[in-house]
Amino acid sequence: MLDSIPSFARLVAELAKFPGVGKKTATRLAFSLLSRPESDAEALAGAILELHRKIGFCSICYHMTENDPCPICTDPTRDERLLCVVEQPQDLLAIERSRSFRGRYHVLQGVLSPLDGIGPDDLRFDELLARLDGGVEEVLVATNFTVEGDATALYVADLVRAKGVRVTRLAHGIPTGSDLEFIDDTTVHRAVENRREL
Amino acid sequence: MRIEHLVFRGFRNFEDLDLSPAPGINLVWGDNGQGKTNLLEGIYLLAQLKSFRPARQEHLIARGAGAASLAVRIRVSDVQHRLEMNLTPGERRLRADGQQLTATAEFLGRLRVILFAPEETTVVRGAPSGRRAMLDRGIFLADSGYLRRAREYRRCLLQRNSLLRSGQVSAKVLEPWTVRLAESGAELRRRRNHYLERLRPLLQQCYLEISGGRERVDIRLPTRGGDDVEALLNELHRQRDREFSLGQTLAGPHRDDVAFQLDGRPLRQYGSQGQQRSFVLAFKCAQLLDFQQTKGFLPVLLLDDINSELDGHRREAFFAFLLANSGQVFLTSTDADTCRIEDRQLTRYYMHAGSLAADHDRGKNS
Repeated sequence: MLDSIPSFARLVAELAKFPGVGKKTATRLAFSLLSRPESDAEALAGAILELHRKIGFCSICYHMTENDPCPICTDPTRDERLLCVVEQPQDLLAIERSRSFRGRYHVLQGVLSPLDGIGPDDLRFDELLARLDGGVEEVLVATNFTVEGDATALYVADLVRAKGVRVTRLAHGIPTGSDLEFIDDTTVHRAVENRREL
Repeated sequence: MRIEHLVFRGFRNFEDLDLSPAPGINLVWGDNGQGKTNLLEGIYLLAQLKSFRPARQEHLIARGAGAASLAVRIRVSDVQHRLEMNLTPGERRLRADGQQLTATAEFLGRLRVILFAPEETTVVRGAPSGRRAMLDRGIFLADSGYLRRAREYRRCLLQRNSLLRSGQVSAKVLEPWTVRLAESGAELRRRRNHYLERLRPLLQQCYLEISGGRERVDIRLPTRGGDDVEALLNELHRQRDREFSLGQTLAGPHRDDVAFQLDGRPLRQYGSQGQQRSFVLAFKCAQLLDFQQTKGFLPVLLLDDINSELDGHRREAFFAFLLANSGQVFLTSTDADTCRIEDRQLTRYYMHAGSLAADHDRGKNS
């Protein structure tokens, strides 16, 4: 049915490329766009184009930003001695939301994954090492708790320790507001292992 | 745990199979090729989400049917649950108690089964991978965290092997994967050993009951230097040069052989056919007892083509064990009188061309 309306089919095909969007949702979105005034479509198209024109990566921490260096890197109230290493900008935003960290960041822009052909040269390790000479005293590794995130953390730890800088890893344990009985045994196990004095 | 009702439609050779099995021993008998094993396969599929026979999804759907649906109502200590699986070419839908599930992990483990199929005896003499898989299936049943750990290990192994195959990799780049693999691998080894320690006395007890022999059986997991991270790490480091030339990881739980022993010697060389069969059967029975001790209820036991497996004496001993220890059992046979169990303890069904008839409808075979 869509084949007879190529412009509609094209939009559906483009929308369906997005995560969590299947053909059904893409079709719904396309119909919704069609039913709105043309100005809405222009606004959306403009916003999408602007995203790529305006947003780039910070040349210090590789977080996404409109101004280089990014506001976090230029914020004078941030602690220069603390550096948090994350996989992606989303991870940085998650830590920022928690307001728990007042140091600076370094975004690796990915994670080691030989299966996907991603090795150390594809990530921002050299840039990280260069930053360690500037008075950094502790590197907090906040990569995800997946096999790849763990291996990347081990790799970072090796690099950073060789420079004589302290390395820490994000703790993992039982989420706030949750009942112990519903937590998987690995998480409980780690929480017991990493228990602390009250 | 027991199955109270099952309906298989468009699955294998079943057009519309509707069965309310007995809580005890259900004997499904009939000629070969009528669908006896298909019934066990369907139940197994709902428990494990994969068949015990090599089969692609298209093969599970009956010829001429566009889709297969398998549904069971089970009862677990006074609570009823409904499990459904719908198969179309290229798609599988799972529902539990009417709710659509997207994560297979949520479906797995709702129906618990232990299967004994004739092919499994060959595991004793076959490659180590078969014995590892048999042990792991036992642990999946007993240890809910094991599957996730095993998947994690598998993932890390794939990553590391991919690195080893890519050739020019420095030790520095390989090391994080080696460390991460050793952590996962040691954890799997510890869990396997922990399970075997619990299972060992049960295995020995079951073997004596079933075989009637006096031999002492054992299962061991010989690993170099123990099951801690350090031992595996050392092993991996020692093998590094060979690993690079072969392009694969040479140490860890994916290579460990499970030693089946008879009086301290390898069962594969020193055990007779009968002893090997009794061993595998005793292993399954030990899993059953272990499950009951740890979870407080019995899983469903599936026994395929049992009379090809055991001679008369062992069969009697085995059925005595079943009557004393098991819950719901499905067993298949070409012979209606495969076991000397009193009629009140056994429900017979006759399978013919994908349809079941309660035995009394047909008149007894004997």
